[in-house]
Amino acid sequence: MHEEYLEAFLAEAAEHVERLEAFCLALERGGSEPGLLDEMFRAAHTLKGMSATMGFSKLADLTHRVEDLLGALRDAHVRPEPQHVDALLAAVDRMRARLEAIAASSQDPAESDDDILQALAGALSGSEEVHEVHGVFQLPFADLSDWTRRAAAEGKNLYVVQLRLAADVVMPGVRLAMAYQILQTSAAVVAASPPTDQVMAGQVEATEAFAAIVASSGEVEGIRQAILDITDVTHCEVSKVTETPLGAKPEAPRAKEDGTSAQSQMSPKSASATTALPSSAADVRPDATLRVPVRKVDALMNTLSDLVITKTRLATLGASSGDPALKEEIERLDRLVGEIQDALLGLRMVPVGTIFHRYPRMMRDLERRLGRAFDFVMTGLDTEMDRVVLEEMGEVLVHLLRNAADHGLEPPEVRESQGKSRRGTIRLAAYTAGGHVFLEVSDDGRGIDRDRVLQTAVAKGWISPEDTESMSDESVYALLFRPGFSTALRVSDVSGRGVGLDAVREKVEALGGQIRIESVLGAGTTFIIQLPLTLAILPALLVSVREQVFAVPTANVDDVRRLAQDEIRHVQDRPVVRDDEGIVPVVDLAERLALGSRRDRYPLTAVVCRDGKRRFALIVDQVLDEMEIVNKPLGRFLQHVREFSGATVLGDGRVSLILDVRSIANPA
Amino acid sequence: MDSYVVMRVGSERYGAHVSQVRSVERVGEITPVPRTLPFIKGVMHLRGAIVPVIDLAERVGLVHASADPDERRIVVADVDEMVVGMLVDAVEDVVQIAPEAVEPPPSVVGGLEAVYLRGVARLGDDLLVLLNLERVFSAVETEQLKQVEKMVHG
Repeated sequence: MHEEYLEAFLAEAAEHVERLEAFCLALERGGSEPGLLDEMFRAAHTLKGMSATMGFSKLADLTHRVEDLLGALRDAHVRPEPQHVDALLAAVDRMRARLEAIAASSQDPAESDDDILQALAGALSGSEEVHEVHGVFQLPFADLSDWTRRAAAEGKNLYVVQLRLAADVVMPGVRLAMAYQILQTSAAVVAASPPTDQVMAGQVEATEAFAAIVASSGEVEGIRQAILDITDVTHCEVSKVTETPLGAKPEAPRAKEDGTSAQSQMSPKSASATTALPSSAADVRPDATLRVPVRKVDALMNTLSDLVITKTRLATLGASSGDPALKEEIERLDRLVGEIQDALLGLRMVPVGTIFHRYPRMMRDLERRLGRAFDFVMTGLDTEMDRVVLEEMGEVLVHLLRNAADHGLEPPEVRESQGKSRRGTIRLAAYTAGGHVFLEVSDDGRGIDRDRVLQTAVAKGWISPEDTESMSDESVYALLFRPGFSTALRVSDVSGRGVGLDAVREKVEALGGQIRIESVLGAGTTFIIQLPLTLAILPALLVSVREQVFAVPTANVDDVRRLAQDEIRHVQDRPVVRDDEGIVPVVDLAERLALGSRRDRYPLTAVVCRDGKRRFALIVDQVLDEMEIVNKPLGRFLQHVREFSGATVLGDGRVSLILDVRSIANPA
Repeated sequence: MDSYVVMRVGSERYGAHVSQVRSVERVGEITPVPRTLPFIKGVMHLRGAIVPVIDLAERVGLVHASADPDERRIVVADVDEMVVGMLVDAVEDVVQIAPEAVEPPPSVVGGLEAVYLRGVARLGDDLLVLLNLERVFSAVETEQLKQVEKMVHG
């Protein structure tokens, strides 16, 4: 068997298993979204086919049984029960184990999967008693192709609207009629189930409906919103039908100007696909991906920065030659190089979802293992951040999430006795703001008991009992990040594995980030992690000191100002200046870096820097420019040099060191 | 036969195994890195990457011969994922040396302790000192770390 096929198989199979798992969790949470079981069935089916083709018959058999269960669930319109999800998840775990074994040895292990197969079969037979008809899952319209053509002739599209009402809706007939009313007034209704006339006559009590409508692409979102605005409508999905027997090509990628008809060779698969507009279920289908080692991207980045320098030199030559045609070409080159640079940097960015996707399963298992009851909510999955930073954060988040489930949340009985809802909520949120990525882990649990933290800190001799009164909450919470701190009453197998919050903080700070805690006793705790968007590129201020150019990350710069002699005061013999926010110490960069002694040429140029809450005025000879710089590591050889976090290559090929503001602020 | 790049530093000749030499460069602009050891000359830009440059003569306590500045080179070595440029007075040749011709080094030779050497080999009338670059660099790294610690703890 060819190694490359195996690798491709493993990568693709892993994606299908991941999707199946995510779908299982969606199934458990949301019950039966229309189409969800179809998606699951398809994923299982594809995986089965792939496995059989590769000769992994055990894996194929296992997947086949999963497919059976899914098919039965789908066709019997059975509402999925916990035992179904449990059996499916157990099968997912086994598939994963098999894939790992295959990755390690290229062999599908011979062990039997009887336990799982029995669980699947048991879940299936058990379900027959639950025969609760939930609704129509499949599109009740057989052939829409005719309508697709007619819609296209009008410059419109055919859409399928699926909507569902809350399970406890009081007057489903009225709500459905309202929805149909909206559809009729804003689009042409081609077909509907339940039928339009019955709904409008008030003869229907269904909580789900489908309708095929013809509308223009600009209208559908408005229609969807209008339907969602109806009381008790919990769900509305509008999918475009692209079924086009003769290959009208609304969805095909546009070919380039030369008009080669790439579309006509589109695979038959795309012919009957529907493109979901706002996907509501767990549509975690990843784009087709290419796995590339980071070092290859970095190598390309290095070549590119060399190209940038060559371009800059060429520009200088072009300018002196005075040839307008040459100048024009150089400008074009400049633009193209810029575009490549942006695209390359984009390659390093990945959506947080790529890491987050494994957390729901982990949280579900934790919930059971710890005897907690909570909903796990993730937001901002599309937020993009530097791949390296994100990967490094994976473990940190696992730790914080476990911590939230184990220590943050109270057991359900305790919550009830305190008048809180039995189920808690743990949130994982990602968002960007002000050039940073924020990751937040929050729970609505017991919150941090300030007094208990202080007791522990006093007991450890970190603070004296007299200090406790005056400490701010923030500095009290900061104690939690000290090595050796733990207020957990017991050490469970979940937390307390020796990895403490101190390791979390260390990791975050090593990546140029910060972590802090907000907490309200009895109401919950939030860990807020702030990280740079990317490690690869940062806006910086170029300053010169004694002929040497240094870069100061703009994220650390509050202000640039001139200081007259009489503005500089001395506090305990140390120079300081005053500004709106208070007294700021003055640090002479030349002196700090041992490049020369202080010069008293007023006015001085000061870059007011910030590191967390600390601020200081950095005296430089000149502020030269502000620009985006590419951050390059100094390498292992110089990694212990504290004053510089890296270096960058300027347009003229010179190397400029990037100041580590934190280390400058805290001279050793 | 092993190939060695022969470098001249002051009056001494050192050999570096070709498998550890990535390239030989002309001396371009070197940006000094403040608060590092004196023999760390700074960093240079090499095809998009940042490479530290050490002065091999200063490192081994030799004075640079009044060599022609045009002859000076930077030998870029790649050892244990550490890429380091060595400033030398000249790069003279690449020579073939049979492993059996390499003798164990005397305790101190050419200013370097034996641990930094792979051995010595006859090269015509001269003695070629074969460098153990892993050791040379890791020692520099350790020294730099000590320097940092000294600054931290006084």
